[in-house]
Amino acid sequence: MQTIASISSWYANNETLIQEILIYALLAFSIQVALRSGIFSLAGVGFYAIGSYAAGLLVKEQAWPTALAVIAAVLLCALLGWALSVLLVRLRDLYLALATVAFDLMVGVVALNWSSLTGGPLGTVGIPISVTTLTIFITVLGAAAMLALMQRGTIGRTLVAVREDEQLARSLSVNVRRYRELAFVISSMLGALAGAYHALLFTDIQATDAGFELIVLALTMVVIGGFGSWTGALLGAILLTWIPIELTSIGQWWDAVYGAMMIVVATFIPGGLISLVTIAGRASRGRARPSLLRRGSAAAAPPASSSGA
Amino acid sequence: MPGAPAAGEMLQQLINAIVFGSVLTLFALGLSLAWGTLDVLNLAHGAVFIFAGYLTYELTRQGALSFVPALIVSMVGAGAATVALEVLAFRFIRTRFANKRQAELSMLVASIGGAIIIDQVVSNETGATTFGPPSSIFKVREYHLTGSAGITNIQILIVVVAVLAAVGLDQWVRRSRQGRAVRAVAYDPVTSGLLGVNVSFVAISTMFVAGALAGLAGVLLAVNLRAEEVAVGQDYLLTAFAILIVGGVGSVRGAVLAAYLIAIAETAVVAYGPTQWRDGIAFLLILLVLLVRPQGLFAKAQFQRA
Amino acid sequence: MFSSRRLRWPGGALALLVMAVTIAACGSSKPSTTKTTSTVSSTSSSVAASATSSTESAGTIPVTFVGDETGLVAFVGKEVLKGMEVAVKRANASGELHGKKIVLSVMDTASNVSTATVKMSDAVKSNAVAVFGPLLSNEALATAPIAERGKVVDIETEAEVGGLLQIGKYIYRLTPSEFLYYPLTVDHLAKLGVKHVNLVYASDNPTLTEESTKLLPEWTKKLGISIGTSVGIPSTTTEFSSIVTKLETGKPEAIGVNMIGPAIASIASALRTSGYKGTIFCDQSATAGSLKPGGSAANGIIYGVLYSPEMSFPSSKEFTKLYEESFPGEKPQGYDATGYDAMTAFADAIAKSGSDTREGVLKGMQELTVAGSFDGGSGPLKFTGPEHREVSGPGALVEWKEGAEHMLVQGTPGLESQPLKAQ
Repeated sequence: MQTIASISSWYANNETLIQEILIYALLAFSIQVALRSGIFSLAGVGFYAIGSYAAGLLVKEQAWPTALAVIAAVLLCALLGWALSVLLVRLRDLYLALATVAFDLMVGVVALNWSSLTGGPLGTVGIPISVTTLTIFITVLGAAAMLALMQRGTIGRTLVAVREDEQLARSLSVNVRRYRELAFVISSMLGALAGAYHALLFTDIQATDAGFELIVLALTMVVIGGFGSWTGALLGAILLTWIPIELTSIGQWWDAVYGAMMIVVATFIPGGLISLVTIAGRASRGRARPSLLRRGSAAAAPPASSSGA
Repeated sequence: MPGAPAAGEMLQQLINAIVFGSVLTLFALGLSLAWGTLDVLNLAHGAVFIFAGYLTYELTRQGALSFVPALIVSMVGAGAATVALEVLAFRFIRTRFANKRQAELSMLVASIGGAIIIDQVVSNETGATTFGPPSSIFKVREYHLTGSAGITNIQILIVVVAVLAAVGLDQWVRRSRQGRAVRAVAYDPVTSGLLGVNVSFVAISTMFVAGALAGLAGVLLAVNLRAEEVAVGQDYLLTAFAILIVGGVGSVRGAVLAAYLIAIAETAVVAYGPTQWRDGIAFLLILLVLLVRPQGLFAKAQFQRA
Repeated sequence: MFSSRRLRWPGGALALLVMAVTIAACGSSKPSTTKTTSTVSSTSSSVAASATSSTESAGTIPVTFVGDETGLVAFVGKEVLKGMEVAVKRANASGELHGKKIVLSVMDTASNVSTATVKMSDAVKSNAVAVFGPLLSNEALATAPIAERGKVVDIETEAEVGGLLQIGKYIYRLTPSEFLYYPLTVDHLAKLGVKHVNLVYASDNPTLTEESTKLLPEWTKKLGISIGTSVGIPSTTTEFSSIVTKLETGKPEAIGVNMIGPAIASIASALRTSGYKGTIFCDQSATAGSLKPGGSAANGIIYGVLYSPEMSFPSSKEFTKLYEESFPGEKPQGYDATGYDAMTAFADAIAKSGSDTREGVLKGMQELTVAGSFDGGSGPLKFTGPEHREVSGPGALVEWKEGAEHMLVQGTPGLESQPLKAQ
């Protein structure tokens, strides 16, 4: 009884923070699912913008029911995501990253100039609050379950194969293109969900919301947390939402401390912070078998591991 | 004679485009060098660029230094900041991370961290408001050409310096012993290390040159613009992405051509087109070029194949 | 747990250590509502010190400024805070608070919307009887609904965005819109005999876009001034010579630069370098030192401001004096006056209703608006707008000369907006 009361009061005290984290978790999932499949796409942020406008405008201007508006926004982005993946099929690595960054920023420029639809520089304001924290929480759980399934079994192994050695995957008659498109579409849908929920929860959209800062934040969350697994993305979303809020209390140099933390983690913890959790977990479980530990820590840094070379 | 002012205006806009292209060239050269040789897409390049402008402001506002010494100190400062990132982060990532994709991501995030720190220093020291070196360190004068067109002495300096820097860098990479080492490292760091190339020294000196070029651009732009703030660096960084893609990563000549191409396109939009779409030009070019010719429009002689 | 020897990368342990220490340090100060200004801003001096102790004691009125103390507009947020501190000091000394004292605490939004929303909900959950909202429009739009739902009076400053007051009855905006005193500038241009102007504005900024594309054309038309070229460019633009060339076409007698940040000084310098001799006017964002880097090229630029130390209203003079006493050697700016006005209105509201509960504050604010106006640092401010929850102010027209603003014209108080007088 006591615990329930204390949990609910803790929740009441941190509701906005939790909402932010849940929405960022969806965005981080969007980037992570692409990265894990070997697709360096940051297009999730562009779909975050499109999803937020689509859902926000459908609810506000057309008075659509929330569920329908969110589904429409997600399906729209799935379609656009598929089209984008077909367009960008030849690109890899940093080239793909920059192309998707250009796409994201282009979405922002269009949103700013398409005033009749988006309100342009005035933004879209006064969207009715139409989702609850619980809905978003359930969505995040569902997305996490889906990503967990994608990391296992045939799909998971195939995606790793596609990431680590496309030629090999092809020779094993894997339809590489189809798998890459699948990952791209799922990434777009997750980005759209994050944007739609943000618009429907925080009631306003600005054309500058999904700019370069959000791209950088989403990428950082996934890399700092660890992009090998959805748990890493979730950890990244939690830490990178929570830490800046706490750090502001140290005054005007908080940003520098934040930057230094990023450098240290990126440089010295290849698998992201989640790998430390994994190591710690294995260490406490398997003290007697130190030989496992080394393999464990390597597995925690996924791309550096599995297929080895 | 209604045609004359329009022609004068067109000439002026062409001059504007060439000057803008030269600033972009100076900015993009260092970024291209680091990416082409060391596989580092240094997102702190824009912050280093502003850092140099800030250093010049700090060194000259009390009249402590005149223009040329301030320029040199600022370039060294910008180079040192970039080398610090190399020594503290990139070096470890390069040697310890077996997987190239993982290394790329980690370098991106480390350079974002570096950019945040540098931006914070500049913004705290300037009260997060606009700053710029005093006009007394460089007396800007305009020379009139035909009609209403004109060009200032700082603009001439920017164009000359950009051309010299581009030619110098191109020759250095192609001909000098050090340049050959850079290309060797770019092609295969492990083998070139075995063949006696001091890889870590090559990396440090390359990053220093890249940072100093950003610094050179930063100081000249600070003098030309008179006023700037931290956010300016990011705008140049985003435009530079387009230059690298359009020109082909690692190609000095490609970067130069792409810089002028983008400058002309953006100037044309401001002069004759829907001005508020100006920001879209660079992003649209990135998408178009990547769709049609992923290796870049002008990519031929590269440090490394993409 | 685990030793660093077991980690493959010794740096990993270091990273954890750094994070653990930092977060522990921050976490220990978690109930951040009780943080007073002195811990946040190095600028706060004696005022904060007097407020540091005795947060929970009976005789205090806790309020929170959810403001931009770091980040993009920290230079504004720090000034707004200083103005608030001066107002707190005045109100606490005046005795109008029924023997109680205002205690101001600060929560830094870092000019970030996510951080701002979290801090605002912390503030609403705290014992603060009123909150002062963040300065950026998108922060204000995101945080005001939280205050409204929490039934706390949210006094906004600076954020000049449409739709803010429609969020609900708890939202007030006590910084007059610059639309109300921009006509002073247009009026002055007409007096100078200007007939043609060209204009550049930030096309991604809502205030500047509305001002430049809707209001200025109306005002100039009334006074027989024509706008030739009107160029909207993104505020991220960093190359101005092509714009300057365009602005000079048609040889206008005046050029408007409705931009923000360094662009104003850059464009003005470039115009002067290329030999432009006409008048340059701009928006109030030129205030607070934005023109300083322009040096002598910025001399003669005119713009409307909310407050000038040269204003002759008694309440303005009082503010100027109090500010200079609190911060010796510093000159008050418009942003200081903004903070002062917001806090002064709050104190006046408590004095009116005699109650310092959240509902009492709302009642007091409502009574204050019925009274019609109050005396702030920027002169007598008249309540206006929907349910009279925003204010109009007289404003002033200033000229920038040798690193300082000089007042040319003082606006007329008690009007909805400044009139266009010149025939």
